[in-house]
Amino acid sequence: MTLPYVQPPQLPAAPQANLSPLLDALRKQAAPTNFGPQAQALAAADVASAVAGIRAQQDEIRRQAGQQAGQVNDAAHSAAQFLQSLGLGDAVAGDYAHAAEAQRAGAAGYSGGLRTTVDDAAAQVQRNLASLGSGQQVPGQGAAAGDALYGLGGNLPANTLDVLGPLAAQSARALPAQTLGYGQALAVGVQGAGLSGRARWTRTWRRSRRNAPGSRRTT
Amino acid sequence: LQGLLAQINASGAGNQASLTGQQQQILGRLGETIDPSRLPAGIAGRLGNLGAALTPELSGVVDAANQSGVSTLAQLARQYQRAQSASAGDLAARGIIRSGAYGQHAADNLHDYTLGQYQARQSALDALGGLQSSFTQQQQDLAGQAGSATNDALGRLTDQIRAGLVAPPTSAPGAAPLPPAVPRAAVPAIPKRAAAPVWGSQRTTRAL
Repeated sequence: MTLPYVQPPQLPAAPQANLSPLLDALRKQAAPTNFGPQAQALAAADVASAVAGIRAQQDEIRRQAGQQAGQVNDAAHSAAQFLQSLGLGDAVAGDYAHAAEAQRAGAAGYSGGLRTTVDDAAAQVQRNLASLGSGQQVPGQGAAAGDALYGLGGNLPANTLDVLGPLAAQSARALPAQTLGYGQALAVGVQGAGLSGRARWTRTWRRSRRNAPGSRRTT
Repeated sequence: LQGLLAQINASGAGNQASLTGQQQQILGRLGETIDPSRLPAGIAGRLGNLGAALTPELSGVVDAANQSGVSTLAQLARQYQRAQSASAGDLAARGIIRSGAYGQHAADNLHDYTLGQYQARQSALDALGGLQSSFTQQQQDLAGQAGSATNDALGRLTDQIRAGLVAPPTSAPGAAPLPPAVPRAAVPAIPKRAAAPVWGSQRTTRAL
């Protein structure tokens, strides 16, 4: 048996609810402007207090860095003056001058010895020839050999030392200035380290402001 | 730093002593010392660092080396004498001592002798010059080491200053007063809000 198909009864339409007032209320609850003016003032004061502390810390870092840089600078001046007092440039110049003098003196002495020895030997040969009745002449080469020895062995090397000495002394005299420059570079480094520390704190208080209630980020 | 500089000074004195000793060795091996009284007027009073080497002891050593024939100049003199004797004996044996050959042989021997004397002294002067170059370079290096040691000390002092281990000079101006920080007590505390009930929490579970 086939049951007859029966149409289901028409259900009544659901009433259309107006949700707008509820959604508006929820939006107002979620919005940061929903903080009351008093809460916002309290939060701002709290953030301002934190930032002021950080800025005070920054000022202290800057003051310490400046003071330490000044100390390093003073130390560099003292070190440079100490090096200056050692008289390294004059000492080096004196060493070269004494070396040149020694070379000239040695060459002059040996030049005289060579001249005397050779001239004495030549004179002896001349006497021997004369005793044999020979009229031959032996050329005396002592003076020329002595002059050559002094020039090549004494004067030229000494001249080189005379040229190198002032250059070496100039280099040694520059040492105090180099130390001063090195110390000033160290002082700049100390100040730079202070600035880096200060910058780190700047990032910190910027982060605090960003995260504060009512800021653009939190909104 | 002071200890290092003392070492540098000691090294400088050591360099000077070493130079003097080596100069004396060169002069003694050659067999000739320098007599300041026989130097030219412009040089006699300016012996430089050679003056320390010209001691009575050196003169005694040179005399001994020459008398024993072990010095370079003594060996050259002996070679020359032997050459002259050989020439004269050879020519006499051949009966031509009075010919012009003896004069020629004697001149050749004298030339060789002169050349040997020159070369021996030139070698000695070259050696002395080499010593001077080394000595001046060493002294220059010591000056550089003093500079480096001072810089190193300055670097160490800077590290101590940065670590706060070195007190600032008392003559320096005092630290500027810090700006007054905002007192925390002046800021009213934000009242705590009651926590909203959360499903599943102990509070809601007990309520159910």
